[in-house]
Amino acid sequence: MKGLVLIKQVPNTDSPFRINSAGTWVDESNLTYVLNDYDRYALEALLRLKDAGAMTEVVALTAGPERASQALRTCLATGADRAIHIKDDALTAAAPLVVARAICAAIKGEAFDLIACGLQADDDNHMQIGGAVARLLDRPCASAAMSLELRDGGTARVERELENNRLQVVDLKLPAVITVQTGINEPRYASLKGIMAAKKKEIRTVTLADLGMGADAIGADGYRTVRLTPPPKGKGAEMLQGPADQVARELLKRIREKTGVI
Amino acid sequence: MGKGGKDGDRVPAKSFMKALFAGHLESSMVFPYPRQSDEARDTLRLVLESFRDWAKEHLDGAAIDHAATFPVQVVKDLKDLGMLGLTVPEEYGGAGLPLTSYCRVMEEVCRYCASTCTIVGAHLGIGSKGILLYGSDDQKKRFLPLVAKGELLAAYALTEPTSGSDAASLKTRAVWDPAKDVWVLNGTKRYITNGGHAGLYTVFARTEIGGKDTISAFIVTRDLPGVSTGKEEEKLGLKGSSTTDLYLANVPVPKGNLLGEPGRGFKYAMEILNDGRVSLAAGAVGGAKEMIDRAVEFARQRRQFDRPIAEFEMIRAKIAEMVTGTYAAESMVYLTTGLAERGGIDYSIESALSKIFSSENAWRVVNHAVQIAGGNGFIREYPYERYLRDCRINMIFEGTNEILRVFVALAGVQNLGEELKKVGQALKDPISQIGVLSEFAVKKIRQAITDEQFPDIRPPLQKTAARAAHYAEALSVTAEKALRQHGKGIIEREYVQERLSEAAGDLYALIACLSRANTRIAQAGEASARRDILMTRTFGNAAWRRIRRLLYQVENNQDANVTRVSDLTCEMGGYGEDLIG
Repeated sequence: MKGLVLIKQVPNTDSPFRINSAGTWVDESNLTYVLNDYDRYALEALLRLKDAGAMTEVVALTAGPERASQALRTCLATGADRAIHIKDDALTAAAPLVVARAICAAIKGEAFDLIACGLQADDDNHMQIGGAVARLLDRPCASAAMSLELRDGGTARVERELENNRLQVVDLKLPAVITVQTGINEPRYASLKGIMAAKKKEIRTVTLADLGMGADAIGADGYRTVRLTPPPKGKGAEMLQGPADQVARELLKRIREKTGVI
Repeated sequence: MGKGGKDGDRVPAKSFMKALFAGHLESSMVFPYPRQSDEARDTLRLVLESFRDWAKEHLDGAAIDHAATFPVQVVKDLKDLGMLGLTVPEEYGGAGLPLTSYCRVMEEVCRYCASTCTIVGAHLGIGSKGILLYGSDDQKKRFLPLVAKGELLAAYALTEPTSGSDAASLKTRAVWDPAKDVWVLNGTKRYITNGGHAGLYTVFARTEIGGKDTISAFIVTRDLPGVSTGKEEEKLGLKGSSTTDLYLANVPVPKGNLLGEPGRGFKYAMEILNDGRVSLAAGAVGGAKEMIDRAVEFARQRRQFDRPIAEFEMIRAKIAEMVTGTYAAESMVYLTTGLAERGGIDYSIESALSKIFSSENAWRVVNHAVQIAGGNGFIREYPYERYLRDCRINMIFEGTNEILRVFVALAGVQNLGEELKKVGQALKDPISQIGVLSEFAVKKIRQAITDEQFPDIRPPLQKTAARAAHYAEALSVTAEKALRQHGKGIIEREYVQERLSEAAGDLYALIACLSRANTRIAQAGEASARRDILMTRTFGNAAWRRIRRLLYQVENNQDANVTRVSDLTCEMGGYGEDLIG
C-alpha cells in the first residue's frame, strides 16, 4: 500500500506581512517559510500507517516555486521515502483547481491507495486541494479527519470533526482522499538521523510544461485574484487598563452584555 | 595557549589577530565573510526547524530554572532527536555538523534555555571534544557512538579547588602501575558541568613522563572503581545544569584510556577550550537576541505619557546599543568559526576575543532589558531576571575574561616580538633583546607595514574601514612601544594587557562587521545591505573611539593611583573607615 501526502510551504506566521506592489499577494521579500502546520499532521498520519506495517511507501508532493523544495526536505527528514516537486513560479498565483489538475498529472501512472493533505493551508485558506484531487481522480473524500483506521476489506474508517463537538464516522473505500485536522495525532520531530538520511532521498522535479500544462493553464478555470487588502480598520477598539483582576472582571462584564454567551 | 591546527606547535599556523598585532593586515583571511555551502545551510535549516518545533512545546526554560534540577526528560528528548550527537562525525553515529552550524544551533538552544545549552555544550563542546581531536581510532570507536547517542553524557574536568585560571598548577595525579597495566588517578576536580549525570569525563592529571613532571589527559568512565561525584552545587543561574565535584580515589584507568600522547595534556586542555569558547560565545549571542526581542516587544507595547516607551530617547539608546553590540558579537563568532573551518589557521585569539566580547555584550544587553522592563525586570514571573542570572557565568567559566585578556595581549605581543627580532636580524642589527631594538629598525618596519588598507571596500563603508585600518596600525604601534618599554616585564603589566586586549577585541569586532556588511553589499547590493551598513557604521563609530581612548591610556593613565588604592584597601582588609558612625 502506498500513501501520498500533499503538502505546501507557507510563510511563517511570525513573518512581517506586507502586500506586494501589484496588490495581489503578500510581498515575499522578507518572509521566511515553513511546512504548513496542518500538513505535518497529514504526514504523521501516513507515517504511522507505515510504522504499523500497513503502508510500504510514503511519498510527499508539493506544487510551488523553487523554495518549496525545502518543505519537501522537511518531510523527507521526518520520514517520507521520496518526494515529487511540481516546480513553477506561476503556481503561487494558481487557483486550487489548477493546482489539483497539476497534482493529478504529476502522479499519473502511480497507484496511491491513500492520499492525505492538511485541512487547509495557513496562507490562503482555500481548503480545496483535497476535494478537487478526489473529484479529478473520482475517489471518495473525507475532510477534517480526526482519526484514521485501516479496516479489512480495503476501507478506511475516518472520524470527521463537525461543529459543536460532534464527530461523524465514515468509511471510505480505498483508494481514497482525506484532509486532516490538527489534533488527529502528535506529529514527530525530524531527528538528526532523519535529517542526514534525507540527503540521500530522491526529489523528482517536474514543471507544468512537463505535465502538458502551458502558461494559459493558470487561471483557466475562471478564477482570478483581483486584489489583496487588509480588512477595514474597526472602530471603537478600547484598551482596558488597570490591574489584571479588574481588567478580567470588566472584560467578562462586556462579553456578557454584548454576546450573552456566558 | 594552543594553536588551531593539530600540529600547531611544529608549523606555526597563520593567525589573523597575531599578524595584526605585528602590524600586518591579512585581509584575505577575513574578507569575504565566510559563507556555508548550500548543503550545510540546508542541513542546518532542517536541524533548527526540528529543534524549534520541539522546543516550542517541550523546552520551558523558566520551568527548568524554577525546578532547579537537571532536566532529565529534556535530555532524553534531545537524545531521541539526535541533538547529543550534533558534532560527532557521521561514521560514529553523529550528525557531523561543522562548527558554524553547531554554534548556530547553540545560539538557538540558549534562546530557550541556558541550562540546556550548557548541558549540550559541556557534552559536545568540551566533554567529548578531546576524543574527537586526539583520540585513537579504538577510542573513537569505543566512545563516540555512545556519546553521539547520548548513552554517555560527557564532562570536562580540568578545574580543581586550588587550580582555576592557573590550570597548569593542578594537583590530580596519575601514576603508572606496571603490575596492573593501569594509570592510578587520585584527586578532586571542582565545578564540573554535567558532573552528576556524566558517564564519561575527560580528566587532566599530572604525570611523570621520562622523569619530567607533565600533564596528561585521560578518559575516565563513571563505572571505574573509585569514581564518585559530590553534591549538586546551588548556583546563581544555570540552575538546571549539573555542577559537582568529581572525586578520583585510586581510580584504575586502563592504558587504552590515555588520551593522545602522554605529557601533552595541557596543550590539549587549552585547544579543546578554543572551540568550546566560540560556541559559548554563540550561546551568549542567542541569549542576547532573545532579550532584545523581549525588550523590544515590551518597549513597543508599554505606554507611558501617552506614548510607547520605545519612543523615548533613553530607551532608544539602550535598544541601539543592545542591537549593534549583538550584531558585532554575532559577526565575530561566525567569522571565527569560518576561520576554524578553513583549517590550518590558529584562531585561538579570535575565539578568546569572541568569548570575552559576547559574554560582556550579553551581560550589557540583559541589564538593559531588565531596565527597559522596569519593575517587571525584577520579577520572577518574567524572563529577564533569569537571563540575567544565567548569563553571568559566561564571564567566568571556560577561562575567566581576565585570564583570556592576559592570553590575548601576551600572545599578541609575543608574536610581535618575534617579528621585531626577525626584522632586526634582516637589518643586520645584532639585536638579541627587544627592549633595545633601535628606533631605526622600528622605523624600517613601520615603513613596510603602514598604509595597509582593506581591499575592495564599498563606498558606504570606506570611512569606517579607513578608521579600522588606522587603529589596527595604532594597536600594533602601541603594543610595540609597550613591549620595548617593558620587555619581558610585560607579563606582569596587566593594566597594559587589559587595554591592548580590549582594543584588539573592539578591532576584531569592527573588522568582522565590516567584512559581513561589505560582503553583503557585494553579493546582494547596497539596498539589501542597508541594515548591515547602519550597524557597522554605528558600532564602528563607538568602537574606534573606545580604541583611541584605550591606546591613549596605555601611556597616559593613573595606574599608579589605582595600585595604591587597591593595595591600601587590601592592607586595611576592606573599606575601612566609617564616615558617619
